[in-house]
Amino acid sequence: MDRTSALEKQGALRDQSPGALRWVGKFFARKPLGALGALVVLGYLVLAAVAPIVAAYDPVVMDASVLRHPPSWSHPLGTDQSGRDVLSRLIWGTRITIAVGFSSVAIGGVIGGTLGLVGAYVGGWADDVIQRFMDSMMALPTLVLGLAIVAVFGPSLLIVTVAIATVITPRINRVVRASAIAISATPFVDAAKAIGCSRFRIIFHHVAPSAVSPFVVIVTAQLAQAIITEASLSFLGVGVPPPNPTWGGMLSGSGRTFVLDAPWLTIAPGVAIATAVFAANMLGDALRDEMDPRLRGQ
Amino acid sequence: MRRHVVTRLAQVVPSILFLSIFIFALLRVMPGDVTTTILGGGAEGGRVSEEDARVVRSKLGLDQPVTVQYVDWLARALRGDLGGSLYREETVWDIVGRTGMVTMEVALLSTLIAMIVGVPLGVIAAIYRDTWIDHLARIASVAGLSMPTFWTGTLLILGLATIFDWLPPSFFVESFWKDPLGNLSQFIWPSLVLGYAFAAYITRMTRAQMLETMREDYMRTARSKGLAERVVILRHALRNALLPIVALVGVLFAVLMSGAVIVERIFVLPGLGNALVEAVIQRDIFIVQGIILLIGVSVLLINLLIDVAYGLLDPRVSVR
Repeated sequence: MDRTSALEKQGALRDQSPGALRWVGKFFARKPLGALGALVVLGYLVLAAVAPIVAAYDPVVMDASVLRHPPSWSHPLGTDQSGRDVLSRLIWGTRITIAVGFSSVAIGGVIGGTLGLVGAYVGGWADDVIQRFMDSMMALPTLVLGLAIVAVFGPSLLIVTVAIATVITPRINRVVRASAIAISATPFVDAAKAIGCSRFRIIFHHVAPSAVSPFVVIVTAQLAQAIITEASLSFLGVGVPPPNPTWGGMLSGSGRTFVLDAPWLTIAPGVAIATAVFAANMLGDALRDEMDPRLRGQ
Repeated sequence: MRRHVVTRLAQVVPSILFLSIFIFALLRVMPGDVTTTILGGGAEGGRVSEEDARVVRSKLGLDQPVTVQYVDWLARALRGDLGGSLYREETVWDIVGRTGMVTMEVALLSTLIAMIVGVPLGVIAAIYRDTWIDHLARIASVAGLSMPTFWTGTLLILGLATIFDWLPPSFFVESFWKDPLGNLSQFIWPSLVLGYAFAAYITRMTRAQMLETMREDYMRTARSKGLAERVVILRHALRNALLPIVALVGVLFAVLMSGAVIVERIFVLPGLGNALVEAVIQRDIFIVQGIILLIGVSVLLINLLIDVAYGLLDPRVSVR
């Protein structure tokens, strides 16, 4: 193939390149499961925002007249051992799940992504030091690292978020660094160097944009991980402390003790966690298939 | 090959050092004073006499500069002294000795279950790629990744109770060597729960590996030789795909440890994970520190061993 036709082909591709909206449309058509995942995540986001309006009961106030009532019209998902409405607690629980999930992923994404980009481009001993540190963090199992941090600082919304961000950072760092190394070796980066771009400009204007798709994919996958870790910490009794309603916490105290007499206490929060994580996983999978050129069109 | 081993060693040693620094620093930035925690002041706001505090501090070496403390701690850790409980006469090694076998058994059983389920499922999904079989396998495996083990575990208990009117024992029955059947009837449930979650990873990896191998030229050669499809898949594809899968199973050891914490909690098994959670809840800091250091170092060493073994078994690695 000669050079002009290759260029033309590139030009044609660029003309076809869809805008953001068209890309979303195509994504929905080609990856229905991934699109469903996106909608579910979006749904939980909305639910978290409007929780005070849609939740019929206060999630914290106890009502001794309805202890462990099975699902009914007034309490569609029943009540727990303190007479609190399970559905309302679930709805309020979305707030903590979403808050911890999104902020820990954001923190981990910014720190892990930046360190990965800079490390990959600068290389040398600085990169080595960063990588060995990330390796040592990766050696600690997710929950073990989370438990360690909570053990030291005591459980709170902030600490749980920081703990999960710490778990996520090295995983994002590794992916971003790998793709940034590949990009740093391409001619257009050399060209940028040749025309005298600053390091900062090269890293964030030339290398970073090409690392965006692997970044988006790993961040989505880590969102699923963050949700499940938050729920696990709450389940173990070291998550966001009560009386805040958390999905994992709902499964730990009441769900476990009354699993036989009041199975609705176990089933509802579990379904909430599983659908949220499943949705994020499906979205992550679909994004990977769609964005990774090696998998595309297979 | 030697270069491969040397490079990996050169990477692991600083990682272990960083790990120790991180774990040490974590303890030093703990809000409040460790001494008040030890003397039981802190939370209750009880007064701790200056004299007591000084005695404890010098006993723990906290009156030394931080660097001296770290080197001291590291030296002791290297000699095998990982410290002990704040509340009981028990060292980290006592706890590991008491609980390690339980965690090991859960880990091995669930890996076994995961391999038995995951590998065939992944192979089948790869063979019937993009058909409904593949989609089903994919949904089953993503579901395994998505359902928290503490939920599937609770549901399993609920199911056992309603269908068989039987509950798994809530105390430790007997070690495998003394009473294999009784032991298995207790350990099979947590291992099933963890094994299913773990199988999800293995299915995905097997499928990806199989798809990769099935593109190789030797597959075409094998088919054109007229070999039966079964032989082509099992002898040529799976055999070559299996090595990276087994290597990844080792890498997933860390995932397994996270899971063990949870299932030991639900099925009331006296394992290392349960001990760690107890220590965290009681804020028994030195125990927490010792256990996570041990887990972290073993993960790093296992990965090193696997990498080196992999280099020996797959000549392409050492060339790269």
